Amino acid sequence: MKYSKLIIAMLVLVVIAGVNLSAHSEQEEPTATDAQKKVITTCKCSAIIKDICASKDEISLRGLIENSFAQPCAYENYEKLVADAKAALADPACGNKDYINYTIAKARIEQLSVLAKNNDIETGRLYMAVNDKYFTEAMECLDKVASTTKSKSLVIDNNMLRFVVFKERLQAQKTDAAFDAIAAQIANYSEDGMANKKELEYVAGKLKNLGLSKDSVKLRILYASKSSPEIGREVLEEIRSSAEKYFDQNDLKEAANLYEQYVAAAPAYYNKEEMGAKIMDTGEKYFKAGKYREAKKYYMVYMEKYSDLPPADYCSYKLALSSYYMKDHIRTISQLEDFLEKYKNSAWFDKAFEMLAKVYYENLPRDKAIESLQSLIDRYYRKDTGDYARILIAMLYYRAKNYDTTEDKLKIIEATSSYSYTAKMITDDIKEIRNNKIAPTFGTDATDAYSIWDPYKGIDVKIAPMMVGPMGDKQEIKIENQAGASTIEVPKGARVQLTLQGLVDEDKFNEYTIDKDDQSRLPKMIKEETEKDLLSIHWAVDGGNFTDDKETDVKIWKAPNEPGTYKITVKIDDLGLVRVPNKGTRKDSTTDSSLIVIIK
Amino acid sequence: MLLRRLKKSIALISILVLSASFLYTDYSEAQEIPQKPVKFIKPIILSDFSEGTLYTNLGGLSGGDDNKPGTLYATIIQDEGYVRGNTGYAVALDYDVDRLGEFTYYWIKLGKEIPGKAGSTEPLDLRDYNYLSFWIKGAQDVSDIKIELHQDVNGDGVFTYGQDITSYVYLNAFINGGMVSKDWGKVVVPLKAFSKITDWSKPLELVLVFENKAGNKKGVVYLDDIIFGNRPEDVLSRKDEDLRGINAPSEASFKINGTNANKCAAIKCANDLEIASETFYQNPFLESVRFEYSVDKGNTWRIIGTDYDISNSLHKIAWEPDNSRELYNYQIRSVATDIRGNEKATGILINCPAQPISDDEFLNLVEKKTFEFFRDHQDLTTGLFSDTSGGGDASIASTGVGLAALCIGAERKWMGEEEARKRALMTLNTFLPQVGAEEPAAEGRFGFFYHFLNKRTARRAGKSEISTVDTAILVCGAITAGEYFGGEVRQKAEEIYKRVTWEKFLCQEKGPWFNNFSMGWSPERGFLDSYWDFYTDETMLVCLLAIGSPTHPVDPEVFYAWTRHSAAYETGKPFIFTWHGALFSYQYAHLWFDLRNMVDKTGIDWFDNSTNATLANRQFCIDNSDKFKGYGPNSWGITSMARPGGYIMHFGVPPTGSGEPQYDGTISPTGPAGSIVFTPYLSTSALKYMYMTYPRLWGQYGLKDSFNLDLKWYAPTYYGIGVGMILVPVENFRTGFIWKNFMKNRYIQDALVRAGFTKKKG
Repeated sequence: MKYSKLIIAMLVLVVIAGVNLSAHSEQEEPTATDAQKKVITTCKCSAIIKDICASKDEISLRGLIENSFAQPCAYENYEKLVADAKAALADPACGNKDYINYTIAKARIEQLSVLAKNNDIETGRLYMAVNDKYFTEAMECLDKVASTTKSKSLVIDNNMLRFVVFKERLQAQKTDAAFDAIAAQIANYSEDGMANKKELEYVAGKLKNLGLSKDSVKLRILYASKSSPEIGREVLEEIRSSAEKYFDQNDLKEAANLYEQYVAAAPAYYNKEEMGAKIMDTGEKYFKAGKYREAKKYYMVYMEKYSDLPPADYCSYKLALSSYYMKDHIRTISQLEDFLEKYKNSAWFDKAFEMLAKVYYENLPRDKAIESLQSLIDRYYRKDTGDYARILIAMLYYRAKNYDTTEDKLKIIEATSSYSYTAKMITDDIKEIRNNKIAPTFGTDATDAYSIWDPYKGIDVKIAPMMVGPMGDKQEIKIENQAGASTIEVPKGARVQLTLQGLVDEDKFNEYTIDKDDQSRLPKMIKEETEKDLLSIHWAVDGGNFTDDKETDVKIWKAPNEPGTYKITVKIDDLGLVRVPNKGTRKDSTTDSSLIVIIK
Repeated sequence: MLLRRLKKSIALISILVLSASFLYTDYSEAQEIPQKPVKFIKPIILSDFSEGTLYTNLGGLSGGDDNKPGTLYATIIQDEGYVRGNTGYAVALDYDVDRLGEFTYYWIKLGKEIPGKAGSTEPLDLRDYNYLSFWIKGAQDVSDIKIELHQDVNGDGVFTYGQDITSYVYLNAFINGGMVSKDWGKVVVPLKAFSKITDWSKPLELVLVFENKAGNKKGVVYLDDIIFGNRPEDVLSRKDEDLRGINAPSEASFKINGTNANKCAAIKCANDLEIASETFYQNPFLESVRFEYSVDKGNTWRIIGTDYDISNSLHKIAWEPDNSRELYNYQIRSVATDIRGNEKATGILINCPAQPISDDEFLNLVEKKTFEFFRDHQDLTTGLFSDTSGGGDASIASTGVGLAALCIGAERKWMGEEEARKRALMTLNTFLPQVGAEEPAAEGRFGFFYHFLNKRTARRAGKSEISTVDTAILVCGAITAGEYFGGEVRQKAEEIYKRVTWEKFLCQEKGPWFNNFSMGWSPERGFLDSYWDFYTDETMLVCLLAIGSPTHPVDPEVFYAWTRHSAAYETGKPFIFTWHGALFSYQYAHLWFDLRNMVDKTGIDWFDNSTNATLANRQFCIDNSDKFKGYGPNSWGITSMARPGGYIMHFGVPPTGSGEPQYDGTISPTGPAGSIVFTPYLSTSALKYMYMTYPRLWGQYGLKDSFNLDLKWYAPTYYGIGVGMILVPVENFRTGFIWKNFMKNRYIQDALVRAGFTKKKG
């Protein structure tokens, strides 16, 4: 009894709440819903059949149909259009039956496209129920067009629709065949090259409007392959020029798409040297923009296909440099080792050597780093580069507080070496540690700053804090100066990203390449380049915790849940280990920076 | 070789069928019959490697000996030319016994591991069998491979040299030509040759041993189709040259999809092939009948499926043409094989293109395959469903989805309704106290159950936790089955629901987790530190069931007690996001609750919310398609899934509560499939694209759990919750079937009303 009352009460509640829970239990047939049946009265495609029947002009017919379909219509509009078109097919007074068939096919494809754009079950079911039937109907109409029309433009448009259908149905071979046919038909569209080009632009534009940018470029390339070499080259240069335009507009995705296709197709039109230079240019363009992943692609293509051309050593070096900037140290090591083995006479040898030494030093476990550095010295001994590696070995022992071995390693460095000053600094520091029991000056245990060298461009680092939101979004945090200290306030448990700003320690060196016309391989300076120095960064905090223990220029700090005042410090130490050609070594003073965080 | 993947469906043996088959065969004529007629015994297919793993068809593991001196690495391969029949998989044994005295081996456990006893094996009863056969080929000629059979003596299921029995023969005497050559050769060993075996109900292991002998120091051999069969002794003892001929199957009897077909339109995405042959009783030398297809006019034949049941003349084999059906012309033939491996093939039976697969056919195929996972992985004593296809324990989540699968199977006639009902009842009984017992067979507390249960005993598996969300999924499956089958099933399903004491897992202390459910409890750790305190569909599912409970309802405010943060991905629509951003965390409640056009009392349309989350997941994959090969507009789905390093729960896309979305280029078809009700066209396109573009993604139970194109990796294992995440949403999309049944339940309707859901205005 009690139970029945509960049920009644619930039923009442259901009614009151307006929840139609039984609605879902009805059989759900995939038919057009009321919304889909709603006709758009302004739809242009509704009344074109009469105009098509009556038209005498092929060009205006094409425009008429394209304009009519420019705006999407409702499902029911297309139903009506197809019904009208079928009636017209049976009407002897109606001309242009090929265009009528084409219109039916287009209407069906557009109709399905309208359904595909909606994310609701009813539309999805309707799509599933009709798509097979409508695609088949469209294909039958297109077959009729192909066998009846004499219009070259309609043949192209017809193949465009076939291409769209095959692509949608994942029929790859047929898609390619239809695409190939379009390109061939455009190439043979008329005797007039300009007219063909115009047709190419028209069709390529249509593809782009359909969101098929890659296919649009692919069509141009295919067209080029079916045209004369001059036209082919012209089309390819247009693609490259478009790529440059997109690149300059910072639309790198579009630029990459164009470059990629260009690089794949262009070798057919250029000699090897020209092509190599173009690929190198593209790689350099990306490298300068800091897009190392993309740059790498082109350097790799160059190394794969043009490694017998003179600047291959430069390309190989830049490939490794790209990996380095991408922090892909495993690849950097293998690429630099490969470089040193292959290009012993390269102008970039010393830089590659030093970089490899630096990567060993920074990334390998201590014993492995020492072993690798020693092996590097043994295999490729040159005085300066060798001394650079020795300094790094000494530093590894120094950081392990093995001062005796550090001194032994530094003794080998002669007074005339570019690194003698650095060696002396470290040796003096060890003496200080022994005599006065001070903490080591270099490395993560340093406690006080010292200045010894006029920096080329001093380190002036600040900690820039940002609040990190749940989706990785960042929000600025206001920094206030309280009692001379940079201070911020954050909530309990907040995630704060700390970025070192002003972490600039540039040591300039000149970049060289080989003059193609000068086979003596004398290096020629082409520009200056900037490379970061070897810096030691050490973060510390007296509460909360960092999300990792890496010593990088960006850290995430998770604030504690306990209120209080916390101090985040960072110590930047320039080990003075980058050698600038003809300028010796350079070292900045150690820099401290701190940030006070208040949690209320 | 392909056997289990392309499921063989044996024809019903009936007089009618037999009579019909004789109408178009010559095999009714009397032929040489063994002097003592014997009963046909269906062979045991120990291993055909059809699942692409080193597990046997019986669930035992196999592997190589990689301990020096002497090593052997066993690898599953599917390279053309190295797989028998150019289809499926074989095992490659890469051995090295270069130095004098070295040996190595490939071992095959004849049975599964005994539950709870690591390293043990259930023995294989071979008392009804009298020969072992397998196919073998080498990268070079190889002789003197030793075939060992190990018998358990002390009954501990573990083979120990010296204590248990080893019996061996050398392969040379049992293969044509006396050695393994570069062509596939069949090895047939009468079991009596293993003369030391004393008890044929206790064999534990089959081992191939490679010893350091002349010419055999290093190399690779390939192995396929290991079976145990039975033939009259006089048949078995005849030498190859004495064997009487077998006949090719009858071309006139060939049917495709039930019709005598020369009509090309007959080939669909899934086909039933049928042909008649001699029977065992007419020709005991016959071992199997198979179908093969070719797409290059018969130059390369690929096995479709093999029927070893030759007790009757009719053979039915299911065939799905290649995934990328680019309108190939398919040629089909049938081949009869005798016990020595000699073959007789028909001519080309059909030479036709396959029809393109429609969306509905495709989704039907996908659903049917996933259903087969549940059909094959239910323990028929407890009714529990395996967590994975790799054997092992059951999970209550897989069991919940399995119950829904039974309903779908019955509704779609993939399983008889009565069988499905019985299976469902068997499952529900396991979760209820039976007569004379206070507690159910399934282990748990307060009506909740352990996440993983021993499939056979229903006791807690390992140190798994009592899980609130997995219990909720179990209850949802039970309710669905109850509403679908009605009667006793409904009564028992509701009883399971009523026994769940929801408040026991609800934090009712004032504090950060007030009114939040604990994720679980274990005897070792007590309540887990984690609470359902942040939106995910799992949170919603637990809360709604608890609110609707007929016996232990909780305060409806629990539905509003968890954190809801909203943000958009890039330029998409904002939505309330989950902690890790995994796609499944927007899908779980929607497997059961039909929340279309409904809002909660804060006005949130959770169906739309999941739609927007799905679009974000897809867009993220598009935006990162330059970083990972597998990402793209039709290749998306970052969710919990298997990945090369193991199963991961926390893969997701921004926005996330953690602020640290994790992903590695692996994606799962369960992502788009689970969202098919939110994004029907996009999901169907993605699933179809994956199916047609990545043939290796398609396996025994349809779309595999996940793949990573950068690593050329495809998940080897199916997961119950993964295939369920395909089966249930696809069915809901097609017919709303699970929704309709689940939502019919009065308590579920109560839950929504109490939680404040109302019809969306406008």
